[in-house]
Amino acid sequence: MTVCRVLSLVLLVALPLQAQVPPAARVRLSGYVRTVASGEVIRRAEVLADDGAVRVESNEEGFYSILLPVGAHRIRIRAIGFAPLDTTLRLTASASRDFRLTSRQVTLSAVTVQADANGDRPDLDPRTPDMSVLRLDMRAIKLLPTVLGEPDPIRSLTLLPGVSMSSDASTAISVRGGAADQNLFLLDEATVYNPSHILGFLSTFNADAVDNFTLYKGAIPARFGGRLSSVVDVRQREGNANEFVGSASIGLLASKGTLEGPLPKKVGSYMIAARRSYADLFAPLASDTAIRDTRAYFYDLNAKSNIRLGSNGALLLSGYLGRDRFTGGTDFGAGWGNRATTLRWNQAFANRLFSKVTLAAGTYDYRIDVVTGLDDSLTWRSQIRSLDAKIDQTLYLSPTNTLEFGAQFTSQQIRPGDLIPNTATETFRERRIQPRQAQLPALYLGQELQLGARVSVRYGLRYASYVRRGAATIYQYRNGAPVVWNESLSRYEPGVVSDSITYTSGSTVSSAGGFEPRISGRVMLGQNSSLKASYARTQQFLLLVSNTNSVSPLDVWEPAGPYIEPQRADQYALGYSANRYGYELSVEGYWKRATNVVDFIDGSDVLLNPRIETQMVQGSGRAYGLEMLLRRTAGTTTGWVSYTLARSEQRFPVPARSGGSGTGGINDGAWYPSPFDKTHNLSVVVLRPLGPKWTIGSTFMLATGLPTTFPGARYTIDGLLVTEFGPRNGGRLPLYHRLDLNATRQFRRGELQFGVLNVYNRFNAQSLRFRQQVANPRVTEAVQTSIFGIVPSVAYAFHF
Amino acid sequence: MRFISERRRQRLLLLALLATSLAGCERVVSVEAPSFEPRLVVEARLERPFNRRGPLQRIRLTTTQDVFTETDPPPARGAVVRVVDAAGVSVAFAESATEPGVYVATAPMNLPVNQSVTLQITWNGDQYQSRETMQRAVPIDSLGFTEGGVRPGLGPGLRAAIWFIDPEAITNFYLWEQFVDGVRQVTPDSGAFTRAVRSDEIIDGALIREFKPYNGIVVRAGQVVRIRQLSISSQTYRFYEALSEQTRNNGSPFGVPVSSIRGNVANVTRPGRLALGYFIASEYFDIERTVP
Repeated sequence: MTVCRVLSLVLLVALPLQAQVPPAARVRLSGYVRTVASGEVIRRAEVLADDGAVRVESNEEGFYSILLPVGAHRIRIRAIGFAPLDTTLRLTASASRDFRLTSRQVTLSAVTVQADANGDRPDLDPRTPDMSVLRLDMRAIKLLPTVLGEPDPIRSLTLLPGVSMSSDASTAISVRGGAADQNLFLLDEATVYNPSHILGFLSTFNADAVDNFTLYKGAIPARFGGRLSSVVDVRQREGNANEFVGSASIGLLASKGTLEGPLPKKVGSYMIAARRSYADLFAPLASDTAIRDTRAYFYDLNAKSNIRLGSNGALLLSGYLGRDRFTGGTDFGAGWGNRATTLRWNQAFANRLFSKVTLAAGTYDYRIDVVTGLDDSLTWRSQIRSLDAKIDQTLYLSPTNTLEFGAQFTSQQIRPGDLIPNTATETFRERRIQPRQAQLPALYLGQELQLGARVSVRYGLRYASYVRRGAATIYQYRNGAPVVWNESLSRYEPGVVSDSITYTSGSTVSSAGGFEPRISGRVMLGQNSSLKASYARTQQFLLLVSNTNSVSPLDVWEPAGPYIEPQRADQYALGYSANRYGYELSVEGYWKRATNVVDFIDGSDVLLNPRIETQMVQGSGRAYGLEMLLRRTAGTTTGWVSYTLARSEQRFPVPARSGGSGTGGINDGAWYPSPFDKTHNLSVVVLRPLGPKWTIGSTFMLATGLPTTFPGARYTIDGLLVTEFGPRNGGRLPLYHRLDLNATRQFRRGELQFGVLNVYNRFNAQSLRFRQQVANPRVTEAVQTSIFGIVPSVAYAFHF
Repeated sequence: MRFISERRRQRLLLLALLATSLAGCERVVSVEAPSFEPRLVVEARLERPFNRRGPLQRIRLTTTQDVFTETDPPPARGAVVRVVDAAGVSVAFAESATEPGVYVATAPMNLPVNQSVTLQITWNGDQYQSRETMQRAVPIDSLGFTEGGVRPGLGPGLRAAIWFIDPEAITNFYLWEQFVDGVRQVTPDSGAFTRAVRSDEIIDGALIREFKPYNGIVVRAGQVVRIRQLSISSQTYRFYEALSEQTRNNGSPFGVPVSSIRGNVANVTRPGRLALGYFIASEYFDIERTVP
């Protein structure tokens, strides 16, 4: 708690300073930074006054507020992907003023994505205390190679340092060695619990519908909480407030369309985007009956509306609906998907207080219908649902002093699984795993201070708690151990149930909570370089119950409770950031340790298990690494090189209550590589124009193979060859490398894209397993599996 | 209980990939595997037919071997094997003269249900021990043959199906074995069940109709099919579940990570070097019929 105390003291000292009234000769200029073309807000734009003497950023809603002396001021606005705007204002009193920037017009030429070495806003800005933050330029993403013509923001994230993918077939990401469930995905502040389509192959985020994709992988702002490793803050576009426009595209995987325009009487704007895959439409043409009888598709719908409330307020309604469907013949059907809805009121008060009041709901569910016999059928369904109410306040005290505070209340309900017979069958019994109810209140307070010309610091304190509510029946286990280590048989076994306690509806089953201090700061080393450092504590009260190699649609969430402790992590980082001659450089080292991380016991049975606590163990995790990002933003050829040198480990010693005596457990309780550990991870991204109409985008990835478990011996059981394995994750898959290319031809009202994934057809092993040869049952074969061979793609998009 | 079997989940992935004109591929590779000191492998299943005595019990002992050898498992010879029932009656098992590593009971055993039996083995200076409780069998009412090709991917053809009633309010775990013309259907093909095991979690007390424990195996007219329904303990159920998951693992993202399978035979002398395999005590009900 030392850090907490220090932060509390700093806040106490700093608050009186904030209360100082600005000198009378100063006035406040505030408003929004918007695009000329559509009127949409521009997030994280830089507002500079008087040749950079005063500097602020627009917030995530595009709002800025700046305190200036009365008189004339030269104002410069900079934003990534927009032409610089320079203007002069004479201020005699506080005023509200929106600035409108022009998007770089020829969007598909590299000329347009390059930055002016002197005039543009750098992404890796050494002047901000931001650290460990990655932002995707959605326009650049569309120029990069895609999977079957479908740009995927999450796959693009993995081209940046500290982010890796667990499998080519999955968009489940690992951030700084963390597990896939340690990342919080927010779509307009509503939680998206399973952000994937096609069993994880493609993310739910339609690149045409979102305009901001920010990943916080450390130094997470105090307003965010709930996950250990990262927050992915995704914002949908608000739509064109000036005119009705639309676009549509056709790719090999899916087609999509977007419509947007002003609301009647120009009170605001709307945006609607829809996408659907259509490979299933061709299934009836297949000669294979299995494929012919199969339907597999996904769709999603994004919508957002922005209603202006005067010049300083807005009401935003945002929604997302996505669904995957899979049917096999007449006896099997499955569907899963997310829903996210947000209603938010943004209002600026007195040009200095920006207020956001948000109501958000997020749901993920799946449903499976199975015909089990001539007269029998079953429905299996599961759901997680959360409702959030948030208040976020930003008080702009001065250009060097900003205060953030707010509160959040989340109500969560999880239905782990219901198995319901559909017919009057006598075969199956209804089975409902008891729902989990929880409430998560949180408060936070933070401040960003500029201390002189060289030092800037952002710090905050978040208090989050978790209360699990009844109705619930909680099993009691002998010695309080839901899972027991059997020393003589070297295996985990479910604990012995000794009793149970029933909690009535609304009563408290268990609770947990704690402070989460966050701090980051920078010291300018020169005009264009800085040293940065940060610390953050995070807590996670939910875990994804997944014992498979990758996240699957059937995974369910389980809250902390009497037997599952909340996960906690502390992360320290030190970095250097520089921006000169059209290059941006960021180098960061980090050290992260986590407690109560989760793994599942060998042979765990996690589906429809009413005592899920008997299938998992909790232990410790640690990760450390060095990340480097070198980006070229000026010149004809742009792009970046990302490199990560990292280590991620975990250990699960057997606790004494479970029969531990210093040995036993996974790998005898010793540290071993986590499933996401990659020692080296290199990405090279290049964008280059070929004449006025063509742009070439290419990506090259090179990474250490993921950990895997190697065999030590084999034996025979009932005529089957069985492999006895060595230490878990004691080996490595082979080196991973892949080159992808993309060529984009621009037309007056559209773009045509050609792409090739895995150009030289590298066999990138995703798994290693050992099987008995069918032809000669005495032979054990080692088999590697890869996902992508060489994959061509074509897509066409047009605008109207 | 697995209604969405691993195989089906893998099919979900496979079909999704097909839908995107992609197909994952695999290849056989060479892997360096270190050599380790051989360990004892136990296949000890004490079985008794429903409500009657069976033949003399047999136990098979082998050892582990290097992963990439192409020979039969080495027999564990020279072991001293003994089974002791709950009443303290001990029966010795003698090594077969014709089948190395197979140990045959020297006397018939009573094996009353719901009573414990203990296996004791001494081999290479180590003492091994395991205890199980004899499980009561559940009768099969009838055996029939029905088309199994309703679901895509399984194809047409007859499958053996059984009808039985699960005893109510008793936790049961089942293991089924299918013999066709006297040959037990065990296949290394990851697409077929290696062993069909189920718990009665969601079928407790129900009439089970037309259940096809080996849905992947087509039977033909004239073949003699025998199905054995064994009652097994919860630890044996977990053992076979783990065995099935590992042998069916096809490397898909939705497969479980590879892991060693732990049985129930402990090394009393050196606890860190436990034996692999299992010790099961089970009553079984079997039924046989010729495919019409």
